[in-house]
Amino acid sequence: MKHFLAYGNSDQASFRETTIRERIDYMTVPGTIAAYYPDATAAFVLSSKLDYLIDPRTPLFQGQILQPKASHVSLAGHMGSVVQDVLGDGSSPVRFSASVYTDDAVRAMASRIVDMQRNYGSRADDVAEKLDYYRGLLAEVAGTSTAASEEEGRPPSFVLAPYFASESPSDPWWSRNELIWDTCKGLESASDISAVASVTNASFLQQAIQAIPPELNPTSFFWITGFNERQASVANLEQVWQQVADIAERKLVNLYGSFFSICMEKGGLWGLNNGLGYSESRSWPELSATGAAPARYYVPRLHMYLPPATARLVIESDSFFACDCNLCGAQGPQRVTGLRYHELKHHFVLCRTWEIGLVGDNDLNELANHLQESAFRFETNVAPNLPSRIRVDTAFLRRWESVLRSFSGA
Amino acid sequence: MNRQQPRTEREIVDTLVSALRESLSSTVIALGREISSHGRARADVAFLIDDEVWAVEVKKTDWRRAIAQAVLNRYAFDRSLIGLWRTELEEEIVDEAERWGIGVIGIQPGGAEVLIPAAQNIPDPSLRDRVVVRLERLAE
Repeated sequence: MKHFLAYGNSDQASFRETTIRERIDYMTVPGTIAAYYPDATAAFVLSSKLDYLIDPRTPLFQGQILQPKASHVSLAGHMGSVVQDVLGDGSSPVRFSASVYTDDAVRAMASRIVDMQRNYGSRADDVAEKLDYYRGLLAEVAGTSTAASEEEGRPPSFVLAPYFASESPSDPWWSRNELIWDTCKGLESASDISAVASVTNASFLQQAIQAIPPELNPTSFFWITGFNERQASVANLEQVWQQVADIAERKLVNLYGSFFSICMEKGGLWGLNNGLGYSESRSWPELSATGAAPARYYVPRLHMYLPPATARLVIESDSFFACDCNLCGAQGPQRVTGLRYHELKHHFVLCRTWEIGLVGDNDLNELANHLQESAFRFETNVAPNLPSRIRVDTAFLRRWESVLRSFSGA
Repeated sequence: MNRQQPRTEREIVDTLVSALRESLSSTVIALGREISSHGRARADVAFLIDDEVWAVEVKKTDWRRAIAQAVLNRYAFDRSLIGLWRTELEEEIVDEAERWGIGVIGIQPGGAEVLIPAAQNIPDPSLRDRVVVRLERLAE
């Protein structure tokens, strides 16, 4: 399972930490951040020595934007004149209907978004001074070289086509996606461009992915908007799993997923993206309603975040839920409430690495047993000992267990 | 309407704060409302008294929620209490508070009284220190 970790505004220090750098495969840079802080982000990303990609986040320009942000205006600058004209200076609400995206507008947008990513490495020449600065910061923490290198001009590992969320083939936004892919097909080195299938209806996933032209990169990304793996029903989880399993011809990356997606490696999922401490699911059109990750503690055996004090209460109720990562280690449950903001993020990455290893080392039935044990221990030893108004909903563990059993043949 | 009863939680907090300032003026070093404590939580009332940091979660009716918050406050404060309007206090509330080592303050017009003492906690030093700094700033 390839681990893609999304970079947020408050995450620079975390991405310099060796504990994190060694445990992720790709850094995902939101297009909004790349556009709004163009020089600083380019210098940070290119000096990072990490493999990276840029998520163009084009659904931000789909539907109504009640309060455009400065980052909307910045990103619109990479999307062509039609998008810029509709958004204006961002001072008033706007609505992007599918009809805004005429064929010419879509072709211009697709071409510009692809070019922006492909040329990202060449930005190293424009930000030499900032590169020196960020290279120095990295060297202080990671012991890397302070000398400039050709590696800093590297392009992203994946070039993502723009995308829009759509519900079905009759959705007018779907035809815009098809035109985006058709345009990308005609661009130079089309096989480098990865499509993103963004669906508002989970049952549409397989059909959407199978419509991706074979001329594009065999690695494709998907986003089921609003699909929260911890809240989804067994039927919906099984449906997604089956669809992923049925698409053998593509390497699929889920843009927003949790431990359940890691388990879907057994069904053929190739990669999982999530934020550093958040973004394991994301709604649309609330894509823009994000900010820094809240300070939460990831309880690895529950596969969920909890407020640190609540997590400590859980661990004090049953030490089975204690974490033995490098940060928590043998220091006992009191360590949980003592972790600082960035340490909580580091802890999460260590937990995610553990989860990926857990899935790699166990078959589906063993993973189902693991989930069953966690659910049982929580229900037996923790839940009865929590104050009644502290609600920790772990019912998803049983649902996940059920799905894993159904695909394990047990 | 019985004006002996508070109309809002804010009224109860006001009464508690006044009582603390009057009756404990010689020992309360610093006192604050809505003091950030752990995660996103804020203690309704927190104060330094002698060498200890205390927190009080005040509720007009939802005492179970007060208990839940007070239980988590044990990780940041030396003593954790709930504050309820005295006429609302019931045996069930006291039993539940004692189960968790939570103290209970009964609040009434013109005063407040610790009815059930809070157990001494072993708070997380970093959380406790942050609360102390916040309270000391208020005292300056």
